[in-house]
Order: sequence, then C-alpha cells, then structure tokens
Amino acid sequence: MKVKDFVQERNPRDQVQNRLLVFAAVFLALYALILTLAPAVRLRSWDADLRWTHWIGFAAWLGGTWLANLRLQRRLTDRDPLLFPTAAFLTGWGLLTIWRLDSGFGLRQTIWLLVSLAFFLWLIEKPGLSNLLQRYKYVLLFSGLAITAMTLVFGTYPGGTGPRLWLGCCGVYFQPSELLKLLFVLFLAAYLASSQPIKTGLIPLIAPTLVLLISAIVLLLIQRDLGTAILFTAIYTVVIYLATEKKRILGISALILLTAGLTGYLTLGIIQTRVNAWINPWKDATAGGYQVIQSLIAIGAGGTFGRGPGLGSPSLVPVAHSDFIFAAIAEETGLVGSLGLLGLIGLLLMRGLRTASRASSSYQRFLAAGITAYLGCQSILIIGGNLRALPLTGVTLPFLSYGGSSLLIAYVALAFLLNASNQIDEQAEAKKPTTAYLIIAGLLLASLAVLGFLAGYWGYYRSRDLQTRNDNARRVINDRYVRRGAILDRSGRIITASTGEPGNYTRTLVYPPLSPVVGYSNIYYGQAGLEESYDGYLRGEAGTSASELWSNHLIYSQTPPGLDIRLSIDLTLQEAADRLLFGRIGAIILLDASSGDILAVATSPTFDANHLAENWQTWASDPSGPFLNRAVQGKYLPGASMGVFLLPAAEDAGIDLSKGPQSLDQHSLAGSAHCAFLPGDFKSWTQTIANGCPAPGYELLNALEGGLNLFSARLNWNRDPDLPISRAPSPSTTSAFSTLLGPVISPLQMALPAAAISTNGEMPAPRLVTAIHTPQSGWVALQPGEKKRIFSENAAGKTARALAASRKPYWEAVSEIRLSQDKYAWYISGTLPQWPGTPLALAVVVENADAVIARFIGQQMMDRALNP
Amino acid sequence: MSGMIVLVLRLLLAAALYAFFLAALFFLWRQFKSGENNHLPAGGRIAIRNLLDEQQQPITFLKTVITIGRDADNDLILDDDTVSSRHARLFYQQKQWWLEDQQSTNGTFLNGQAISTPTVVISGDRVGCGRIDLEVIIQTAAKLGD
Repeated sequence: MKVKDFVQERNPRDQVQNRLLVFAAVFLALYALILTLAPAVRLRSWDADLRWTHWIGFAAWLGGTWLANLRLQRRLTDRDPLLFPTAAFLTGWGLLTIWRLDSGFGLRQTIWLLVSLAFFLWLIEKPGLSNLLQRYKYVLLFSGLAITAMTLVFGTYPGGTGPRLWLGCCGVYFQPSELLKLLFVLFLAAYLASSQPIKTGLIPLIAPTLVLLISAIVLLLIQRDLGTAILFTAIYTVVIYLATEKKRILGISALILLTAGLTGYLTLGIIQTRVNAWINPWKDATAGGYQVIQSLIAIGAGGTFGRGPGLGSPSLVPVAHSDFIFAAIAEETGLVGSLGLLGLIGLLLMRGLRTASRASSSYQRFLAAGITAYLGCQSILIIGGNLRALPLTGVTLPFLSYGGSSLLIAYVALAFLLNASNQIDEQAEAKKPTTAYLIIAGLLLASLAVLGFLAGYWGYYRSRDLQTRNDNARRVINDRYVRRGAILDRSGRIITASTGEPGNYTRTLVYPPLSPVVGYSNIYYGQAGLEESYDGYLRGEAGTSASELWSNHLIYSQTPPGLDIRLSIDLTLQEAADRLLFGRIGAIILLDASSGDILAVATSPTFDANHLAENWQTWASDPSGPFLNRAVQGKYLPGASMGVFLLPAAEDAGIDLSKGPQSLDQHSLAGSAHCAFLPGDFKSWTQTIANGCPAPGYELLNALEGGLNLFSARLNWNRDPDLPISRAPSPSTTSAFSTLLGPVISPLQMALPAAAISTNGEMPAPRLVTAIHTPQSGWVALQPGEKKRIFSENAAGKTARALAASRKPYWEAVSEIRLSQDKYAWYISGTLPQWPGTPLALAVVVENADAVIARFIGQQMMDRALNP
Repeated sequence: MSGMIVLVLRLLLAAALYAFFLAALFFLWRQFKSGENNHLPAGGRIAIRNLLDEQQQPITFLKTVITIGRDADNDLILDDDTVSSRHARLFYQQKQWWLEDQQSTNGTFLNGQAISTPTVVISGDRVGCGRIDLEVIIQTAAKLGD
C-alpha cells in the first residue's frame, strides 16, 4: 500500500500559510533591498553610502516568523491559515518602515519583536491558557486598572516631555493602557460567557460591565489618553452587540460617544484643539493643524505609485514612526501600497470575525470578537486620523507602529485568536454567521473602504495642491539633490547659483544686495522674489518636456535639473547704484527706456538672503524695513515731480504754455510746499517744474481735462506694474505715507513714464527676466511687454529738451516732499532724444534727505550709466 | 542605472504585495467552492490501516475525499491485480464518512458485504477492495483539548 506522499504529509492549511509567508518574505526582502539602494538613487550615482543596518530587522523578522510558523504547524493544526501570515506581513512592513525612519527606533522595535514572538510561541504551546484566564476575570481586570492607575503617580514619558502614560525606567518602558485593553477584552468575554445564560434582560446583564467601563474611561480621561478611551467604548459596543444581537446598542453607543465628544469639546481644551485641527487644519497650519497637514502632504507626495522606499521624506511628519506610520507608508509606496495595507488589515479582521462566529465556546467567541474589535477599531481610528477622516488620537497602528507594549499586546491577542480558530465548533461550522456578525463585518469593511477612498482623494486628486504648499519642505529637500537653476545678469555673470554635490547643493546669492529682487527659497521661511515666481523653471518643472518630467518623477522621485534664467540687470550698474545708496534709505531704478529692461534696481537698507536664519527677527522688526523693496514696493507721493508728466500732456492737449505759472509755492490744509531749488526763470513752466516747485503742477492739473484721471488712465499709476517680484514680506513702512494727498507710487512707476519722455512718448512695460536656458533649444528670449503711447512724439521730445540739464546729454527734474513725519526727495531723469546710445530712464528717491542729495546721487548714476 | 534597478524592484514589490492577496483570495475561493468541507476538524479525520500488513502504521488523511485504486493518482494506492485502477472512494458529508464503489471489477465490501450505494462507515469498519482488507479508524473530538 502506498500513499501519494504530499497528501499525507502536508496539511493544506500549512501549504496556504507557507505560500503566503513566502510572498510576505519576498515583499519584505525586496523592500529591504530597495532601502539599501535608495541612497544611490537619490544621488543618481553609485558613489553613495548604501544603507545596510535594517537587514538586522529583516533577519530577526525572518527567523522569528519562520520559527513561529513551524510551531504553529505543529501545535495548532486546525488554525486559520490566513491570520498569522497577514499579521506577520504587517509586522515586517512596519518594522522596516521604522528602520527606514530611524535606525535607533528600528533596533529597539526589532528587540521588542523578538520578545513579542517569544511570548507568542509560549502562548501557542498553552492553548488552554485563555480558558484558565477566564476564571480570574476580576483579578485580571482590577490588576489592569491598578497598574494603569499607577501611571498617575509614577508615569513618565520616554521621549522627554509629553503625556505621562508609561511605566518603567532605565530605557525600558511599558504603556499599561495597552495591557488594560487586552485585559478588558478578556474580562468582557469571560463575564458575558458566564452571565449571559443566567441573566435575562439587557440591563441586568450589562450593568456591572458598564460600571467597569466607566471607571476605565474615567481613569483614561484623567490621563488624557483620549484615543484609548474611545477605543474602550468601541470595543465594548462591538462585543456587547455581538453577544446580545440588539441593534439599539450600536445606536445608543454612537449617541453616547457623540454626546461625550460634544461635552468634551465644550469643556476640555485638549479635545477642542484636536477637533478644531480636524475640522479646519488649514486655518492653523503651523500649530494645531500642523501634524495633520504634514500627514496629508506626505500622502499627497506619495501619489499613486509612491516615491519609493527610502526615496521620500516621510520623517517630515512629526512622530512618523508611531502615530503617522500610515502616512509614511503611503508616501513611499503610494496608493498602491496604502490600499494593499488597508486590504491586509481587512483580511485580518474578516478572518478574526470568522473565527469569532465559529468558536467552540461562547467565551472563545466573545474573546475572538473582542480582539478583532480591538485590532479593527484601533486601526481605523489612527488611519482615519492620518487621513483627516477622524480627529487625531494618539493610538498606535497595531502590528505596524513603533511601540513595544503595543506590539507585544498585539501578538498576545493574535495568539489568543489563533488558539480560538484552532477549536472550531462543528455545530457552528455548518451554521451561517448571525446578522450581528455580518453587520459588524460590513461596518468594518465599509470603514476601511472609506479610508481607501480618502487615501485616493488626498493621494491622487488633491496631491497637486498639497505639493505646492509653502510648508511642504520636500521642495527644498529636492533642491539639495537636484541642481536648481542659476540666475545670471545680462552679460552672464552669476547672481545666484546652487553649488556643491548632489545631496548637499547649497544656494548662494553671490551678490547679496539683490536679495529683495532675487528673494530666497528657504526651508523655514518659504520662498520670495524671483526664486518664488520662477520656481517652476528654476527647479526644472516648467520648460522641460513632459516625458522628462515624468520619468524623473517615477524613477528618482525628483524634478529634472533646473533651468538657468537671465535677468536684465547689469551687475556693474547695480553695484554703482548700491554704492550710491550706501548708508541711506531710498531706492534707485534705472531702465532701458525703449525695451523696459531694468538695468539696476537698488533699495536700501536691504537684507542678505544667505543669512536669513540668523537675522530674520532683527530684519522683520527693523522699523526701516529691510525686507521692503523700495524701488518697486515703496509708496511715495510724486509731489512736484508729477508736473514733469503734465507738461507733455498739456502740450498734447494744446494748452498755451507761453505765459508761465501764476505761483510757485503751494499752500493747502496739509501745510506749505516750496520749490526744491530756486528756479532760474520764475516764469518758465519747465524751469519751475524741473526745480520742484509744486504750484505749477497743480495749475496744469486744473487746466487739463480729466485732471487726476490722467495719472491712472495714462500713466497706470493706479496699479502696480507687472513684475514677478511683488510678494516679499509685507512692509510696515508703507502705511506711513498717506494716500489722501494724491496718488502714491513706487520709483518704478516714476521711471516708466520718464522712459516715455526719453523715447518718443511710448511707455515700455518693465522687464526683469529676459531669457530662459532650456535643455532643447538653448537660451529662449522672453518677449518684452507691449508699449503704451502716453504722449505724442513731438510733446515728449519738446519736454525732454526743455528739461535738459546743462552740458549733459540728459534731462532731469527734482522735487522734495515734506510731510509732518516724512521727508524725501525725488530725482528723475532720462536721456535726450538725440542720444545715440541706449536710451535710459532713471528714478531716485532718498528718504530723510533734501533734493541736493537726490540730485547728486541721480547725476552720479546717470554719468556712470552713460560713460561706462 | 540605480534608478532603473530600483524601479524594477518596486514593480516586483507591488507584485509581491498583490500576489499575497491573490493567494489569500484563491484560498478563500477554494474554501467557498468546497462548501467549507475541506476545513476538516481534527474530530473527523480518517485513518486507514492495511490489515494484511501487520507492521504498517495507520495513515491519517486530512482530506475530505479519499480515492482508492491501483493508479498512481489515487490518494491511497493499492498495488494489487485484484484492485481496479479507480476502485472506490471515501468522502465526508453531513459529519459522516461514506464509502462508495467506483464500478470496480471485483467490487467493494464493507464488513464483508458488497456495497452498491454510498454507505456510512464508522470507526473499526473493515473495507475490502478486491483481495485487500483495510481498517477504517475515525478520530473522535474527545481526543482534543484538555
């Protein structure tokens, strides 16, 4: 007689379990291998420090799981074959993720895993133990409560300051509320199994358990361990419902949780913070909502396929190894991984419920149901917190999160569950599971499905907006690994560039006085200036082909190399302008009058984008406002200088200018305004306006049809010119200049119509960025903006010649503004129409100075620009 | 280069994850198809002993259907000329083991009586296939637990 060998020797359960464990082991080995290679991928070179330490964790998992598998096959021949491989899969995944986040925590968790597996092995050798525990239900529960109460006196927080929920010393800590959770399940199962047959009626049956539940919850509330308190209520509800099959229990429990939550919200500060951070985290993104938002950003960064193990930045989420391990996994494995993870949890829960519905005794049945409820509710609670489906509660994700107590208790619970699944009741086997089990299974699966849907919503649908948020440090980290484009001046000299090796590129502004224009891209202070407005090109996201972008994202989880941009700035003239303003408060702007190219834009005082961290507070609180770019953001009254633009307007309107102005000084409610210099010819419109006499301007304004509208309609003084550097930190000094006295304008707004006088009456659009260096077609020039004719050619030329400075190839005009608190002087100038070179236009404003100084600075600047 | 290698590894990683699911689902489907019956509790397992060979230990089966015959693809192979290639089968149904003749040449006997329809067997019954005599031992649930 012979027997087909495999039929006799192999239990089909063992085959299934072995096969599943092989897949899990292959997954984890691949995961560990990718983690090892990840540094090479990030640097795009084999010359990288490959990671090896996490293989300790993998080896411990492999050895421990293999041993446990052998013992299970020997001892529990009829166990459910899906439970252990699923739990082992989750454990290994969590363990490697913890290693990836922090190898110190990884090593500790590896040791805890070995301890947990030792307990697990001991428990499966003693299948009768859980039945023995049934007899000591009260002892167990009260000792659990007592140990938990001890934390009120002796509690510590292992990581420093935080909720004092741990007991222990010398590096080994235990969280008693984890133990209490399991003891509570054991007690409930034991109590219901012994009391249900003798007590009729719902109230007499559950009254004693309610007392214990409330005392446990009060204890947890005193400790501020809200998550565990919610969990106790959920476990209790599920077990009582499965035992009694009365649907109203679900309703009543939901009502109680809602009422308790609402009362807590109105009375307890901590609940209020948590709930507010849940309802609207965006409102408070730096404090209460910070964790949730960082978690969502991480999930969004993962997208569909994930950034790859070791290739993301999940450690940016606070406590990623514990509370936010789901977000960490979602970032690195994407929707593909997070849906798989939810599926694994679902599989574990369904097999747990199946075990419960067929267990051999009612005690085992309630025990298995309670354990499933504990694993299920805790997983849903924390994953829901990560996905902003639920308020954040500081519970762990069973099997995955860092935490010795949590892992140990999960493995003890798993051993009880496996023992229960080994003793299936033959009568129950044929029986269909009752409605109550189906409802609980449906609720658990529906919750997981909602979580899966939300993971897709944040990871796919909302991914884009989450990634572009300023508090997403991944962009700045990316700049350390991929060269960010350089910013060059018009002749190709470097203004700012990233230097170094992949992995530690640093951004250096070679010419710091341009900080207000170039801005910064900083991990703590976000982005500003051109670094912000041209971020797309500088980091290679714009101007690169879609396939290039996609392959870089998929393979390296990085952006392509950045594109260089060229500015209109001439560094030589820029240096001259900065030197002229040194020690003063004011601004200089020099334009190419025909193209609108900004050749120099100086503001003083200024800041240094290379040293933001050391000086941010000083600069932000400095009343002179170093962050303010006075040349384009400063708001000043034009004063008598507006007359310069009224002259050609009057010329065009056909007003007779031969008679001359009636008065020179202006007297109004705001005080008296005088000429900056005494004009040589009191009766000449141009002489009086060039010397800053205020009255002639107002006289022309009254004579002109439309009056003040001229400024907004023709000179566009009512809106800021379109320049890509507007969003610097909002300055505090602008408010000092009242808008009641007329339009307030920036030096740039003064220089633009000045350019029209110097050319042929056409006002150019300002331009700062002239070309972008694309990988396909080299330097691509950006088109200048459209010009706008504001004066006739004749009127512009006539005005320029009339304002001409003596023995200079340019015209000029000065004015002085004296208000009760502020005093400043303008100098505007431009080349004469016959000038053979590039036409230029200049505006200078100097605060706390008179017109002599403004004119000196302006003339120096013009002379430098015209005689290089 | 490293990027491409890791990309391939990542694809394999996703494949391993979903292979795990497929294997689990395959198990569930098979369990569902066989009406839960291949989930045989220890209390119903059958062991068969060859009465003609005193030294041989009884062989315990975990399956719910055991085919007996001369062919190599039977669960229990009886290499004897009087045994048909597919002789008989034992199957578990309604919590009992049944013996059924598979139109064998020399007939199947239960405690000496030839059978023509599926017949319930109990522990200690003798099953004859041609010249071979087998003893059926069915484990009871009482052996379990403590």
